[in-house]
Amino acid sequence: MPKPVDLLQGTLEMLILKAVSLGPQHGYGVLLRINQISGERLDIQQGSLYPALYRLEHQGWIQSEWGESENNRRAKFYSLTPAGRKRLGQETAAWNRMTEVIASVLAATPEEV
Amino acid sequence: MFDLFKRWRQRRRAEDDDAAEELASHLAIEAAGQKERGITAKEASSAARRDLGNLTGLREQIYEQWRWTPLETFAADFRFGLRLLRKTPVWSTIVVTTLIFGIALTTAAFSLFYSLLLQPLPYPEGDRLVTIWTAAPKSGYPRMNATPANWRDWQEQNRSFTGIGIVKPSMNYNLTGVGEPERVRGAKISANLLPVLGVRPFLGRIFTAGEVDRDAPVAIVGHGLWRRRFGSDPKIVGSKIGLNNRPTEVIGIMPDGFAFPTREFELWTPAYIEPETFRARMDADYQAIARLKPEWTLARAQSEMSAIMRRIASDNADQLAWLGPQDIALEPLLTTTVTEARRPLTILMAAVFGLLAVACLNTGVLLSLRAGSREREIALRSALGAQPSRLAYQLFGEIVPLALAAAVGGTLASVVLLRVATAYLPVNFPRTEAIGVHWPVLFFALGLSITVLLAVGLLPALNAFRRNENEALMQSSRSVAGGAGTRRALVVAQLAMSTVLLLGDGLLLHSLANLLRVHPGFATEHALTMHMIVSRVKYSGDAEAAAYLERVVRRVDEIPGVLAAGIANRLPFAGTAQTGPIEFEDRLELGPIDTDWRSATPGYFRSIGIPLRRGRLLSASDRGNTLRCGLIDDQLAARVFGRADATGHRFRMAAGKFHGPWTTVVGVVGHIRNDGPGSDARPQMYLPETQRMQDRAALVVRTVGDPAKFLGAVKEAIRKENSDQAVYDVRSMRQWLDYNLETRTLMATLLAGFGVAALALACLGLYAVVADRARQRTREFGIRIALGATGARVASTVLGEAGVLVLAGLVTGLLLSTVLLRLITSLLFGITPNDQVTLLSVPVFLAAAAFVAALVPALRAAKTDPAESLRAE
Repeated sequence: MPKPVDLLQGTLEMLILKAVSLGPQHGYGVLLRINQISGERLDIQQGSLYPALYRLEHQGWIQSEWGESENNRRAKFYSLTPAGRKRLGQETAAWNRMTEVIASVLAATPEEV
Repeated sequence: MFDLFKRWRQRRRAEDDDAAEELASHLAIEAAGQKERGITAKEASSAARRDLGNLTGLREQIYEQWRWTPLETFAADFRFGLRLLRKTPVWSTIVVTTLIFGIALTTAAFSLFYSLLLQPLPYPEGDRLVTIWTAAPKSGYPRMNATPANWRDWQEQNRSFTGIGIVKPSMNYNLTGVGEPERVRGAKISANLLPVLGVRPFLGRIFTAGEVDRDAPVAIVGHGLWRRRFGSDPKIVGSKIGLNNRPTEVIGIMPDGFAFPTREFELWTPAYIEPETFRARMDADYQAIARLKPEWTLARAQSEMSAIMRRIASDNADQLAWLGPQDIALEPLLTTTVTEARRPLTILMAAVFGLLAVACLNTGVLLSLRAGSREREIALRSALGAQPSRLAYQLFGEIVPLALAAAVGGTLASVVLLRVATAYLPVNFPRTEAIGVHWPVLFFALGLSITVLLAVGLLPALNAFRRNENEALMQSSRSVAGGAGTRRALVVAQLAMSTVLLLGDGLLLHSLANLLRVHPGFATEHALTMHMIVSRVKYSGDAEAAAYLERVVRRVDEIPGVLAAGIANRLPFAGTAQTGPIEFEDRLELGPIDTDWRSATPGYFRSIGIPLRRGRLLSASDRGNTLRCGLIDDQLAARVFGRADATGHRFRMAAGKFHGPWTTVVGVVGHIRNDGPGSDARPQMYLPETQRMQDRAALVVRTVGDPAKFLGAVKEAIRKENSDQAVYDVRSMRQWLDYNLETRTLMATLLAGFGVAALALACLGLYAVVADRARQRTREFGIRIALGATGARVASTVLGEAGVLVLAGLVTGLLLSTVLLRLITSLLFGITPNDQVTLLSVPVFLAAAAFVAALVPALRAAKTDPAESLRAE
């Protein structure tokens, strides 16, 4: 397995929004999805998932609905709201901007200073 | 509103149910997923649980996301705190009462402090008002009032002020023609004084310059007098009242709250100054008040005025040289007004804060003890997963009902306390009309309560963080390990604070005792005193007025039981006034000597108990047209003539260019301490009223037995002579002396109260800590007694521990005192801050009290039944 990356604080919610944007999913499924998309490099702490989900729901970025999982268990399915979609776009853009700036700083060579 | 709350709670509960179900299904799904990989069902489900972590914790986290939850938790803690308090009513009462007491006292004291010292003067831009003092340090007067001549010159030459006004306080008026004659305190003011202050009468008008220049019979009446004597009738403006038998027109009424110079002054009249006074540059009886121009600073004005004064002094060297080099001192009016009260109030505040500190420390100790007894419970909960922050918040929340009760109770009590205190303040305390509850004081009370809450609640909360779980769980249920060291330190601090307070009080008491023991030079018992103002309208000539006074004295003399009666223009201890230099014809080289100038009737010396040393007293045969004669005191006689007989020599008043007539010394009398028991500033000289008439008359009546019994008869005798004569400031001589020492007595008494209260609290704390420690060691004591130790031995162990605390407290307190008590040096009389009597007696007193406090647990320990203690767990 490639080296696992440490998760920066505050990015968890962004990842959850992304995971849910790909289609409605229940909590465990969100975890699996994130793990899957990242090529198994991201392993989210299970304990931080649910408080984050509820927080996002209170803030109105995602909505929930009771449904049935693959193995016929009752589970709560989360999906993105329009506001959440917009938010995801904003967060992604902000993230990209920040990483670009930091990368350029870190790439500075002695001659450029 | 309540409905919304209910619905909110329903939704929260619904969400919680959802979350529980969701978490359960999460586990099931995960377990199912794991199972597909071939792990057994049981292992899969436990693996899933391990991964998810603390289920209840997660649910709690979700639960707490609802915004008002922290508030709910706090409310629950609050209610729990209330229950705890109800369970131990005695303990609760003690703690709440202590805190209420501390907060009330501190708030009341701060209210006084603020009202009197910090609150700005009630005049518009009052901070721009200054008093102009003349300083002539070489002549013994670091601060002098202004003479009208100086005032005129300052007005002409200055550029710093928009106006300078003068006021001559201490004018006494007999108010006649409206019921019983009454003495009213009035002040003479210049026409521009009220404009300088920035106030106007709310009815009527102020004086015109013309009215002042011709001494017009007009007056402005104060609000209190208007309400009291004239029934708030607006028609009084324009009508006439009798002031010293002179019909005077009332031209204005001042608004309520105007109290200038102090609240005793109820009348203002024009300050008419005779041209001669200007020419001779005499009469330094006026206070000059000026308003700084908007752009000017005090420093700039000060340097300008100093230069002006130098010019004046050199321009008038012939008249002013005797004063030596003169300068100007500018002082903000607020400072002038409150100067006397500043030191006692500051000391009072410091003492009160000390007491509050002790009260808080005490409460902290008691709370810490109570928290300690819940050690096991807390340790258990912590072991089960409670966050330290949660526990700390809870302990804190439990304190809140306590602090709330103390805050509310304390603030209310302080209002009551303030009202009571104001009634007991010495009459001459400045600005008492300004005392009240103001916003800054309320904020202070709030801030104080919060601080107390923090101080008191922090200790058990901190302990919750620090304790070691394992230890706490293993302890036997009756032990209280946590925080013992801190508690001991708190008790030591309390004892130290009490020591400082008691030492300070001891010094003040000793000074007071010294002052009371000083023989002032006259008789302090069996004498009645009262004051009168002679109406110069009724008795216009000096001879007439003097004869009137003689008749009054004769009538009083005739009362059976009166041993002697006499009049002088001022009593001893009546303040520094009527002083000036005199020179002796045969000793001119000694230069003028500063003395108290007094006018008296012959019987005065016998009635007040001043002994005759040589020659004769003043007699009835000394009249206005006979040889000018006078008496000097023995101190002056010794200074000027040594052992030679002073009688027969001549002296005269000599101030600058002014000279009185040559007067022959006909007798030498005993010296008195005129300014107060604490100071011996000047010698005295006496002239007969018939030769130097003074309007002010203080009657002294020497009686057989209780002087108060003679009051009616004396007043009646005076009334028979002159029914219009108002009499005021009636006191027995003893009361007069006590009045002089009023502020000191009050301070010593208050500080004594504080000291004892602080000591009581400290002993309470000591008792609690010692008793607790003794209880902890019950097993040990039981074993020792079983092995043969005597009860006394055990008791002495307990006492020994207490003794260590007391010793530490005393030593700390003594060390603190060496620094702190230096501040009250100026209030001490006859002793230094290192007074041995106090330094010895206070620690003994404190140790005795502490001993009693520690005795109870000690005795209880001595009676430990070994069998019982070993059985108990």
